[in-house]
Amino acid sequence: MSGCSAPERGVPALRCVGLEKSFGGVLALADVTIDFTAPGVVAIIGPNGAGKTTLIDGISGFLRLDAGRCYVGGRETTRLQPYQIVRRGLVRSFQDVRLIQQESALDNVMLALTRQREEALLGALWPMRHKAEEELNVTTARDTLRFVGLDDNAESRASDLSYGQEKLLALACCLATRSDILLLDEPVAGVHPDTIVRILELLRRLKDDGKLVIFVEHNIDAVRQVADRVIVLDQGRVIADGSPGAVLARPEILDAYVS
Amino acid sequence: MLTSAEMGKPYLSVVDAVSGYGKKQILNGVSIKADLGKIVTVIGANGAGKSTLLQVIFGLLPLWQGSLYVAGVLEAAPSPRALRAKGIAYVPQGNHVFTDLLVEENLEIGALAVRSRYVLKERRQRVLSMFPQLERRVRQSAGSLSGGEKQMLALACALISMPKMLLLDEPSLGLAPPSAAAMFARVRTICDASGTGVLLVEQRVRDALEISDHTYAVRGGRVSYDGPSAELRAGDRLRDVYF
Amino acid sequence: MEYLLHIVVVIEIFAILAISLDLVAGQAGLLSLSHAAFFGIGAYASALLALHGTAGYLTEMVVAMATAIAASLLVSSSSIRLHGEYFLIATFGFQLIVFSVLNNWTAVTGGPSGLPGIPGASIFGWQLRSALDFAAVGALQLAIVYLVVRLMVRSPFGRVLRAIRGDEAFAQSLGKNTVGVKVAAFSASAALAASAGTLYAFFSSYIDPTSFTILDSVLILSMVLIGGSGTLHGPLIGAVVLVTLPELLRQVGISGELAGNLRQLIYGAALPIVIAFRPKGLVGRSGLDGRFGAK
Repeated sequence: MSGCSAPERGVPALRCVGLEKSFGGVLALADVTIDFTAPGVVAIIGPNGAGKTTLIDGISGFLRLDAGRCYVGGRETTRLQPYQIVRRGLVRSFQDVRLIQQESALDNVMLALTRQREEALLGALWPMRHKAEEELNVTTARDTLRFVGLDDNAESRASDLSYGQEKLLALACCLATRSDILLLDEPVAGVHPDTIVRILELLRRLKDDGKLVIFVEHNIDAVRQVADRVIVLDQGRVIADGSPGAVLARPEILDAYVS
Repeated sequence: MLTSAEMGKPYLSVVDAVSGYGKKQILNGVSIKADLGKIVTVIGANGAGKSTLLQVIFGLLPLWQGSLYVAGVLEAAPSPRALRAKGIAYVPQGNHVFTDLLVEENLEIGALAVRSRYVLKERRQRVLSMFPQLERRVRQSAGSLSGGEKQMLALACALISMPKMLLLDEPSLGLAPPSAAAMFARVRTICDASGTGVLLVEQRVRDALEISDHTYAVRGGRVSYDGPSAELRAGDRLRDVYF
Repeated sequence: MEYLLHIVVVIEIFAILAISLDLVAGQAGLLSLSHAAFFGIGAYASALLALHGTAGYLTEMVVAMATAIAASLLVSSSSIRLHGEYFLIATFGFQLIVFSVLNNWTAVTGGPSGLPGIPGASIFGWQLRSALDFAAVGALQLAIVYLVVRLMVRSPFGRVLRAIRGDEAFAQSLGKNTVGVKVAAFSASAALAASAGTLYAFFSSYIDPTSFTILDSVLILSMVLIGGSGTLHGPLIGAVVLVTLPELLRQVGISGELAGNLRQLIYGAALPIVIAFRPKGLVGRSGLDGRFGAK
C-alpha cells in the first residue's frame, strides 16, 4: 500500500501526459502535460474554473479523463480505480474535508493505516491473527496524530473537531496510507491563521522526509511561503510553471486572474 | 430619487464581520462601507470571502462576530426580509430566474411587496425601459432567454422594488465579453441616474475597477485594500493586492 | 409449553435474519429489502435437497448458504455500485423476482402450494423431532451467527464497512476497495439469512412462498430499525419485540382475524413512530442518518 518499490533513477514520481476533460462542452482540462519529481512542494494555482480540482480528480482516479495518461513511479495509472492508485503510492485529500464524522480521530487514522490483507472478511473470523498488527497500528496511528499535533484529540469524534483540526486529521489520514505522493485540495482554505502556519510547516517537513506534495490553493500567501514550484492553470491549460517569485511577477498571470 | 442629504451617507456598514459555513471560517474580521449613489466593488481570489460577505450582509448567513449597520442603525438580526424592507436588494451569482415563468411574471415576483396595481405598472414600465431587450421579450418564457438576458432579468427583478442599494454577486459570470461590458455600463448608468448604491462582487476585476468608485480587496478573509478604484487601475498595486 | 417453544424458535429465526441484515444495513448503510428472498432461497434449497436426496441438516445448510451466496452475487454484479435509494430499489426488485420464481416455477418449487412433507433432519445422528430439539438447535445457530457477526463488526473489515456508511468516497481515497467489501458483506449476510431458512424448513416441515414476500423483508428491516441498527443486540431486541407483541395480543383474547389485522397495524405503525421519536431505534447507535428524510 505504499510507493514501496524504489523508483528508477530519472523516472518522475508523477507524470501527466496530454490530459483532457470536458464537461458538456466546457473544456476543464486541455492537453495538460506535467512531470513532477520527488521530493518537492508544488502549488497549482489559477482562477476559478481553471481545472485545478478536475486535475486532482483525474490523477487520483475519481474522474475518468477523456484523453491522456498518468504514470506514478513510471507505471501507468490512467484507468485505475482510486483505491488501486492509492496502493501505488498516491493519495489525495478533498476540498471540503472528508472524514468519517461519527468515528474518533484515532479510528479515522486506523482506517487509513490498515492494510488490505488485514481487512479481509474471512480474516475477521480469526481475531488472533490480526491482533498483533492492530496493536502496532494503534501505536503508529498515535504517532501520526502526534506528528500533525492532534495527539490530545485522538479520542475525540471527528465531528467535534474544529475545521482546522479536521484538515489536520485529513492530512494525518493521507500520511497513514504510506503514500509518497500527496495531492492536497486547498489544504489551508477556511482554516484559522494559526493553523495555516502549522499546516504549512507540516508540508515543509513532508518534503524533508522525501515526499512529493502537490497542492491546489487560492491562498497565494501560503503558496509563497511553502512552494518551491508553482504551476498556473487557466481555462484548463498550463500557462506558467516555475518558481513562485518568477511566476507571480509575470503580468499575464495577473491578467488571467483579473480579466 | 434620493435626497442629497441621504446620498453620501454610508448606507451600509459592516464592522469586523466573522462568519463562514458550518465549521469553516471564511471571514476573519471584515469591515466595509457602501454609500448610496456610489459603486463599491469587492475583489479577491476564490475562497477569499467575497460571496460570503454578501450573503452575510443580506442575512443568508449568520454573523458569528461583528455588526451590520443599515442607514446608521444596527441591524440586530439581519434577515433577507428585514434587509429588503430597508431597501436592499440582492442578486445572487448565476443568473437565477424562474425559467418556467414568463419574463413579466418574473418581474411580478420581484415586485410582490408592491400593493398598488398602478405603482406596479409604472415601475414595470420604468424597469423595462432600462432593458429594451427584455421589453421585446416580455411575454416569453424566461427559460428561453440567453445568459446575458437572464442576467438582465435578474437585475430587473431586483430593480423593480426600487431598492436604495443593490448587492450584486458576480453579475458578469458566464457572460461573453460584449454582454458583460454592456451589463457593467448599465449598472453604472443605474447608479448615476437613480442614486442607487451598488455593492459589486466581481471576478472581472479590470471591468469592475473601471466602473466603480471605491474598491475593497479581500484576502484570506480580511481586507487587504481599502481605497479609490482609480489607484488600482494602474496595475502595479493590483498585483500586490491580489498576490 | 409446546406453544412457547414454537415462539422461541420463531424468535431465533427472526433474530438470525435481523442480525445478518444489520451487517449490511446497519454497519455498511446498505438498506436492503431482499432479505426474505435469501431466507426463502435457503429454505427452498434445503427442502428440495431433503426431499430429493439426503436429510443431513448440516449438508442442507451448507448448500443453502452456497445457493444464497450465488444469488447475492447476481444482485451485486448489477447493483452494488448504485447509491442508497437506488440500491434499495434494486433489492426490492430482486425480492419480487424471487417471490415470483418461487410462486410460479411449480415444477420445482411446487408453486403456491409449496413443498409439504419435508423429511425430518438429523445432525450427526441426532434426529430433530420435537419443538425443544429445534429450540436448542436454533439457540446454537443464533449464538454462532451472533458470534460471527460480532467478530466481523469488531474487525478491521467491520471498520471498513462503517467507513463505507460514513463516507464511501473518503474510504476509497484511503485505498479501500469499497465495491469488493460491499459484495463480500452482502454475500455473508445472504448466506446467514439462508441458514435461518434451513432451520425454518425443517422446523415447519412445510414451506410455501407466502413466508418469503416483500412484506417479510419489510418486517425484518423494521426489526433492525426499531431495535436499533449498528449494534448487535438491537436487531435481537427488535426481533423479540416484533414477534412477541402480536402474540401477546392474541393472549389477551382478541379474535384471530382481529389479531391478524392488529399485527399488520402494529408493524405498520411501529416503524414510523420509532423513526419519528427514536431514530436510532430502541438501543441503536446509527439509525437512518438523514437518509430518506429522517433526522
